[in-house]
Amino acid sequence: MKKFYGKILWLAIALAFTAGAAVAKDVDWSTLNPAFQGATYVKDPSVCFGCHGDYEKPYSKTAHAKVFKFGKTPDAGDCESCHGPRSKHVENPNGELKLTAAQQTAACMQCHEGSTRMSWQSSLHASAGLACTSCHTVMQQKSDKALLSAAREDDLCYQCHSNVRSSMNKSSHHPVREGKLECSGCHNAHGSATPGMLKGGSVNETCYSCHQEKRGPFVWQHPPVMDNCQTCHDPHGSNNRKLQNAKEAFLCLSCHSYGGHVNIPRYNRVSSPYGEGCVNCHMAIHGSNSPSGAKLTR
Amino acid sequence: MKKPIITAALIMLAPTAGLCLEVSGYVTAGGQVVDTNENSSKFNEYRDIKDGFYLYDLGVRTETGTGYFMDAKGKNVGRDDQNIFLKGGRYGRWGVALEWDEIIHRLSNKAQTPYVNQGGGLLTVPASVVPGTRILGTITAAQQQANDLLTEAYLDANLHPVTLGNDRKKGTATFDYSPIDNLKVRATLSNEDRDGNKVSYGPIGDRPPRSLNIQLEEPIDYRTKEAKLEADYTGKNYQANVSYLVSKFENNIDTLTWRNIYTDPASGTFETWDRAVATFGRRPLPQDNLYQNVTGTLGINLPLESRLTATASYGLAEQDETLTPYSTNGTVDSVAAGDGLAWNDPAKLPRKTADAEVETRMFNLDYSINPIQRLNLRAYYRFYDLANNTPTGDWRYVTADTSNTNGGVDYINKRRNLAYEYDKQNYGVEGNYRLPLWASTLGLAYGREEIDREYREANTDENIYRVSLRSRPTSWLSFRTKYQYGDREADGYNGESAHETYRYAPNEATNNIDSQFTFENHPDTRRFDVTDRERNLFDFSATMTPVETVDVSASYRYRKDDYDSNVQPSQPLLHYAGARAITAADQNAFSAGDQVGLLKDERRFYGADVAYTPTQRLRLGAFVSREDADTLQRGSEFDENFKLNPSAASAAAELGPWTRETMQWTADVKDTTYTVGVNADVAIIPNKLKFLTNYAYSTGKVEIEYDGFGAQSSVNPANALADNHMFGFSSPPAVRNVRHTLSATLQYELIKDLTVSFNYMFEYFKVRDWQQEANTPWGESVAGNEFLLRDTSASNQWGNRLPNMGSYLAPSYEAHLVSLGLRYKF
Repeated sequence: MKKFYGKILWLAIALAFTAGAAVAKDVDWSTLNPAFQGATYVKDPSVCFGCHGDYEKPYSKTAHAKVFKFGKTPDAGDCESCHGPRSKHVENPNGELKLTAAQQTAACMQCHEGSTRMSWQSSLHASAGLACTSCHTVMQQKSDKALLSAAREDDLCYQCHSNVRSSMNKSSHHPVREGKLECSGCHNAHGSATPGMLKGGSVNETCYSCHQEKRGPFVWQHPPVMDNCQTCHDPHGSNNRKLQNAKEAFLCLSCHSYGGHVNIPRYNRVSSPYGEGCVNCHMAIHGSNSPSGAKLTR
Repeated sequence: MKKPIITAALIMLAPTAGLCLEVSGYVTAGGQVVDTNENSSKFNEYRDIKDGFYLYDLGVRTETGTGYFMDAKGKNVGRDDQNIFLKGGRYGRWGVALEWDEIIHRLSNKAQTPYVNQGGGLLTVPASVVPGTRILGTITAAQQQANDLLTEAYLDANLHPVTLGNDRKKGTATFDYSPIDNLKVRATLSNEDRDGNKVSYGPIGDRPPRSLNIQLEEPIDYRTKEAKLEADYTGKNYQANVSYLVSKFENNIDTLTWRNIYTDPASGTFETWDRAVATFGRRPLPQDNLYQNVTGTLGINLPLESRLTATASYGLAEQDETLTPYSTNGTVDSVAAGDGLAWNDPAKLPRKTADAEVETRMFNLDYSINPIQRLNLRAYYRFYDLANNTPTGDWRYVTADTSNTNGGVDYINKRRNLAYEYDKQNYGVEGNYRLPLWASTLGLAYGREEIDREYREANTDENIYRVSLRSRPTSWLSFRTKYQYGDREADGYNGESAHETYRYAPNEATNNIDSQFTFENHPDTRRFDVTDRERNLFDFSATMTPVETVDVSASYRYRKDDYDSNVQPSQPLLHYAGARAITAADQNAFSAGDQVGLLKDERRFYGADVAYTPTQRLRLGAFVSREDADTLQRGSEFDENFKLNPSAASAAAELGPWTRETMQWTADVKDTTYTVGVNADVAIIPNKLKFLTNYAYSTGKVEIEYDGFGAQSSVNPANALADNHMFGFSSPPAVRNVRHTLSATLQYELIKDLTVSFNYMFEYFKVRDWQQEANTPWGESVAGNEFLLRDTSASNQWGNRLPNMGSYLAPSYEAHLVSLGLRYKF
């Protein structure tokens, strides 16, 4: 614990020092794209829609349009808050001021860098070269949620994570394909402080957000359970029952070789070749609160 | 919960009264007919599809034109898997959201049990118990098989159906508000009730072979109440977020108590191997607990497009449920070391409540910078600490509500609970450089993970190296690839770490099991989560657009974990400090030195997706994937009664000592999954008639290639063990899961904004699993009754019998669904 508080103190000092050097995040459009140099804000969406009329109706239904209309409208107005000052574009409409995906992300971050997106810049998705527009259609509502570019969130994620789609189609799975759970139930696609972009502080904290009964803490702990639920379970799906990484007794035998019946998949003193194997007796496998729970049979 | 939603809707719309409302939305309603095998719960495992008329989908948005809005959404309204969502407020200012969500988890429609659920966690039986099964010491196999028939007849007479599964019903209220510029606060309150039951087990009767087991239902009556408060502040150059969560879990049923159907302790006499067996078994159910967490995150933008993100989090989990007594067994612990108290007396416990507490602390620091235009660098540090403040205690448990007839329990049952805890550090650097060629980015990364653990076999350190490349050589082709190498080392593997859980004095050991002064697990065991590991990981994916109308993507992933820990022959008894006599030969005995446990885990994934859009009226898509997982594990069976004196074990006995190499077995497990999907979206008459279909196929196969002891004799490995030998085991039949899903929908716009749709869905699911079948080489049903399973050795051991709730609780099914719906858009 002393180690922990020592590090916290040291890092807090470092944070305070770096905070003094903080700089504004507002987009410097001419740095982003030198072609913006000299451009000014038109501040009149009707000018934009004069040419880009196809976008007007779909855009008007988006949360962006509503917030700009009724909320705290930015100084630059509706279109140019995201697309930059467009006076030069109005004068000479060409592709010179077209933004790359990374530049679009910088524009989005003017408003969206806080809250659950705070770790975006250091996230796995960012370092893999993804941008906001990889997943969101900011000008059109194609889904019920967060302007995602696919109607279903899992379909969107599967576009890159096809291995997860394969897992979710396995017999034992969380109710994702049934539409009762989404990838974002466990993961923050915008980055997090936890490996795997998990929403909880650890794998277990994430799992416990739904499986509170397994949270314990228990008098008798099963240490690998406290370490990581994934020691035994694959949350994306499994061909074994209960999302298990291996079949019943073979899972337990990956670690246990106590003697007698605990070293082999079949020993007629116990009923491990049927039912659920070792769990037939050691059913308190996640931890026990029984004074007679040392072997997790209570 | 539904009433408050309606009330809130009225309240939210109140300010808009008299204003011109703009209402838009959609509603889909209709009816359906399902034809399926009601025997299987798998079809409706997580959904509620049945005959009837339903409101499938609903969405209504009401706006005032002055920034106020209200959204109402519903899915599967009226079903047990419904979701109703209501949100109102003012754009960009405030909002109130109410959500009602139900999730079902059906486990079985065909289970049967002899137990009558009396409520409150009490399971009784409707008739008298089975006679005769309490006798063990002198019973012959034939007599025990006669008892099996009595048990079978008892079950046959008393079984009745029980539906297995549970429902989650969760209500959530969220209020978000932006009181000043750049500040947003959010409060979320939720209440979730979970009711139903699940499959569990109730062993009674000491320990194998004297334990009698039964599969039974465990009631679920949970409630979780949560409150979360969050605040986001966005400064000119930084953002801050603070959140506090409190989560209270309550289980309205504290214990599960079940009648011992095998024995009637009130009558008859016990024989040599018998014990003072309790009339009821009891164990605690998930305990009430409280979890709190406070997390703060700060993101600061710094020069050179750099950013520092820091997160600190503290969590506290507490559980202080009143402990059950050691047992329902009223036998008094009156032998020499006993205290004269009965095992069912709470006064016998070292403490009355669990007093369990775990604290977690997390600190994460992430810094990323673009020092030059093409280069991005990132450095991170993460610390996670789990501190277990649960006090240890000196316990002496009754294994399964069964003591010796003199009131004593074995010396080895003197145990101490250990407060397992750990801390973990991760740190590393990574750089990504954009090459001036093919829009390519080259990445290099180094990371290190250090985990310190209390009461476990080893601390581990891992170095992780990664190189990656992503590129777009042409406008129609892009690819990305990654290779990662990880080398985890255990810092001195201590297989004796579990010794601290025993607390008997050396001279109390009355036999050679003596786990405290010998060893617990086989000395060659290495637990895969805390031992050496070499990891190789390779990813490749490519996306191609050969012509404008075709998108193709392909991916390949490979991961291999090698747990080879350079295990050498060891002498676990060399420093024996117990009080029992040990010979020099035993003290110097060597283990085989072949690593026991999981040895290898190798996985491959191949996938491809194709999308073809030849015209705006036709969209076609397909995907296919294959996933292979290959694991290898080794075990080494041994007779625990010869831990201290392996040389005394009979050379002719199949169950040999831990030194016998021929006791080893291996299991090579191959787990293969194929997934195929096809979909089509055809506008037959543009904006009028549309046809949509998709088909998905998934099959999983788990093959276990078993070799060594079990398949062959340990005494003479040239000989095979028969299937009905008590240790006989061989490669089992493959486990297979197959699923086909086909859906086809025809949509026709009757009039503007009114569409009628006709839908047909077909589903087929088939499962074969040797462990769920009544007839395997190792398990058989007694007198053809799937509810009483027995080891095929059919010996006189009690423990190899399992009254259960039926084979394949969620069996194969085939289903057809036809539905007709009307969708109105307004």
